[in-house]
Amino acid sequence: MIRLEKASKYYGSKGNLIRAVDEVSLEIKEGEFVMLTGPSGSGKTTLLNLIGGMTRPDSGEIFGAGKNLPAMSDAERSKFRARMVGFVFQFQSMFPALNALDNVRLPFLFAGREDDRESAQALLARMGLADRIDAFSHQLSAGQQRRVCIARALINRPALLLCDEPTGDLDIETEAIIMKMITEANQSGATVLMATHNPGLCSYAARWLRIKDGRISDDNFPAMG
Amino acid sequence: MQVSYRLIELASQHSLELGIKRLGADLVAVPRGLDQTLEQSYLTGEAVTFYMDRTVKDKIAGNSLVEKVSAQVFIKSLARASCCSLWNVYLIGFEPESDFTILPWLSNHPLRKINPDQILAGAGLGLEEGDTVRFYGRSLRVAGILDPTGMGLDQTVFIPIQTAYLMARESAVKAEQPLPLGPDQISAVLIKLKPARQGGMPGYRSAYELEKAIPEISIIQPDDLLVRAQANLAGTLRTLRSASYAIWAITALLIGLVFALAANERQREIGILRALGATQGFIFRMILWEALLLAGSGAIIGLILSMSILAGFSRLIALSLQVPFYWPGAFELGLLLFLAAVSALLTAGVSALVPAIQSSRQDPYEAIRRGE
Repeated sequence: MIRLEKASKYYGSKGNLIRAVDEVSLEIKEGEFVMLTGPSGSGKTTLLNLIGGMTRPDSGEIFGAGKNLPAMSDAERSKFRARMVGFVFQFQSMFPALNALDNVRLPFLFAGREDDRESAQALLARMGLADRIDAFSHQLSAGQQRRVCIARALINRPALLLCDEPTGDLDIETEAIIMKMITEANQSGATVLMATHNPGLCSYAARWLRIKDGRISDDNFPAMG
Repeated sequence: MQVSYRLIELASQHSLELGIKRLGADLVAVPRGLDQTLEQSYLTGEAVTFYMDRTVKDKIAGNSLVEKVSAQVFIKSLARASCCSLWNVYLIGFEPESDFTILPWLSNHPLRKINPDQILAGAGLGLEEGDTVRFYGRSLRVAGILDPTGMGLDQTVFIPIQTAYLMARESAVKAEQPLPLGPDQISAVLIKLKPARQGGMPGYRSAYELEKAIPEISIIQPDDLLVRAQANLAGTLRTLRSASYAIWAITALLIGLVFALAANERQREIGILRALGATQGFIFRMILWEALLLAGSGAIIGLILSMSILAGFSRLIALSLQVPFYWPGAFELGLLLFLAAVSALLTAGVSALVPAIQSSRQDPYEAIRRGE
């Protein structure tokens, strides 16, 4: 599903070069649930974005669905993101001008799929938001907003779900609901790669990666251990 | 701004053409030195009163260059007086038997002859046919309303000259203040020149010859009125034109800056859209459409505002710029509004182009990072 070969991403200039991702080689199989941990600034978010075709590596190869992402045109990578990838960001990413339902329907537009209001409604209902479909972001709690964003990430049934600290600022109850959604998506066939600070969430995954200074330092280390 | 400038130019041009056509005389003779006073009055509608001896009319009529003459008297109705139903209105007494400026208009009207107790009212007075008005204690009936010109003539009431003399005579008894007009006095003589084939000369030459032959008069050439009004307006229009170009350039820069700032503020939103699969083209079109929508709404609001301001203050504009103001025809006005709207859309489109290109070409992750 995903293969990285010595993929690197740097920021800054020569004198002050930050190696956000440094020659990472990695393979994630279809249907895996992989947890990515590491300290702040270790490169978790950059790695997720490289895998999701959100940015190009400075060197190395990244293969997604059998295609080399850096070699794709921008339009091809947009199509890849629209049809294959679902993103859940660590920040609130609902569009404030759209209500919950329209936020969830938005990805249909980019995936070239016919608008399917019913499935968007059903997905929001599964997230426990059946009575909040007309609400705007300012009318929703942080946890509700995050659930809307997960629904938006899942609406096109992506083959790859990339989650960046999806429960970082939420209470335990909401965290459990969100993890349930992500686990269900994985059980339905989606490959999940989730970045987190929280070691308690590692138990949801079968594989754990630890990243430090832009390099994978441990692969499948004991989660709670 | 562009619309206002162009509209004032069009409106004054249109108005002058109508007004000069209405004036109908080749030359107008007034007491020596009062030509500019009357010119200004024609343009603004401000009433002026001055008189000269009626014999001047006969002297002009006797000149070999002249084909026809007709005398007029200028009267101003009283202010705050119960003997006048309209205050400070410009009354022009004309001679129905010799007039060649008002009567041609009447020939296209069911009313072919005007009686001593009837008047013709300018379109700007708000009177209607059949209304009764009172001046210096004398009641008169509105027999017809003249077509609007935008010039001072729209604020004028035309009465038979004999009625004016009668009104003056009775004013000592009927009015709060007597009208100081004697039966041998006139204010102006409208002159129709002989055509060239009958030995006539061009207007400017005839004016010169008449002023030389009759020292007590000054001559107004209505064609000069057009030139003078355009000269009055030229400086203002030049300033307005320069200001409109400057404002246009500043607006274009500001729109570009505002959209650059707005796009910068929306980096994260743009990054999220790109993460969901939006293409560069989609982001480019989105920013451009937003710019066009905003500019379109702004253009509509701006045009409505400028039209309303011009409509509401047209009289004030005419007075302060010393030019007549009458709205151009529907086609010209429509074309002007259309061009103004297109120009606003083009300005916004071009100004938003750079921010739209810059925002659309960013990596989605880069956009999100910058928006943090």
